[in-house]
Amino acid sequence: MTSSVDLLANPYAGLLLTIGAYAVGQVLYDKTRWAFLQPVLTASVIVIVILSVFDLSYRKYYDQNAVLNYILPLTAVVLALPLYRNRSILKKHGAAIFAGIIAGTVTTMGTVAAAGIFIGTDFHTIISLIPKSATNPIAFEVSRIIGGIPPVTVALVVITGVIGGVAGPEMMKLMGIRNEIARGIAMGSISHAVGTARSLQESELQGSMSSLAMALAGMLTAILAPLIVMLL
Amino acid sequence: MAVKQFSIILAVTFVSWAVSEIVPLPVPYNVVGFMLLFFALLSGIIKEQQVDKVCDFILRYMALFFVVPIAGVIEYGDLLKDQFTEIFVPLGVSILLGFFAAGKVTQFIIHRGNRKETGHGI
Repeated sequence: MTSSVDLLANPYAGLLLTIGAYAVGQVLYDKTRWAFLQPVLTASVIVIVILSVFDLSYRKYYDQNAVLNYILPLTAVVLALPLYRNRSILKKHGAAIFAGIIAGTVTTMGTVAAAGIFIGTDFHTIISLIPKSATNPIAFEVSRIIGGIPPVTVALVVITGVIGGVAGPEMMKLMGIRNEIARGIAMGSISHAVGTARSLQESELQGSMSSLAMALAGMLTAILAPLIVMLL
Repeated sequence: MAVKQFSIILAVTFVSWAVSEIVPLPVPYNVVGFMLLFFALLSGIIKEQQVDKVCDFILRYMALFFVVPIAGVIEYGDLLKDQFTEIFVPLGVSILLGFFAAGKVTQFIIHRGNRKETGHGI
């Protein structure tokens, strides 16, 4: 398909694609209200399909979205505001919140390694899977330190975020986890920023709990991942 | 107003970067920034009204910023296809159990606390 027109020849095309795809996702979600049809998922699928069909370079697409990528790290910083607004919850339920984050992080890291060993997953892939619930900047560093393959970890972190962000609330409904604080803590502990973005749509309380969990689970992952690898 | 608010966020982020350059922490500087902004708000160094407009704007469109990195999975399509079961079985199991552990433990302790407080089960 090298002879076809390069749609990314215009420097604004990449950003237009992202926002356009997100708008389509938002309209689809508003029309159907189907929980699995999250705008972020629809938009990502549209982008992947268009890049593949027109044989466009992901690197070029990435560079053309510099404006969004510039703001991305700040999304973690601004999450301090909803947490501040819900500070009384943190004060009142601090013990439950911290225990939940520790339980979730230890469980998810332990079971990913155990299940991987059980079905015979490649060792390097298992190592790359261990930090998958941490937010990407943390997971990338942890993967490098414990001997994983950092770019593979980045992809796995994204997939974990999407699975939890899209299916998490439904899974928790089936598990009987109805408390808003508990739901937010689980979303942030397991599905980091993507889960937090979804939680924010559910409620500000859930979003703020998720952002707190994301920050603490990330730290916990950095501290515990080398220990888990030592046990393997 | 928006420029002033955005500058405060940038300043917090810059200070966080400086802190993490000096003190070796196991987290990236934007997570340090999250904690720094939280403590600045708690202590009153930064007032809610000084950052709320910009924060709420970014929070409202937060999911949009993840489209580009998620689409990056495209670069690992072959690896994910080749090791599909070996990757997605442990991934699925650990996500499910992780949600269960985090959610149940948090909920259990909150409910136990509520019972103590009110003297009867809710």
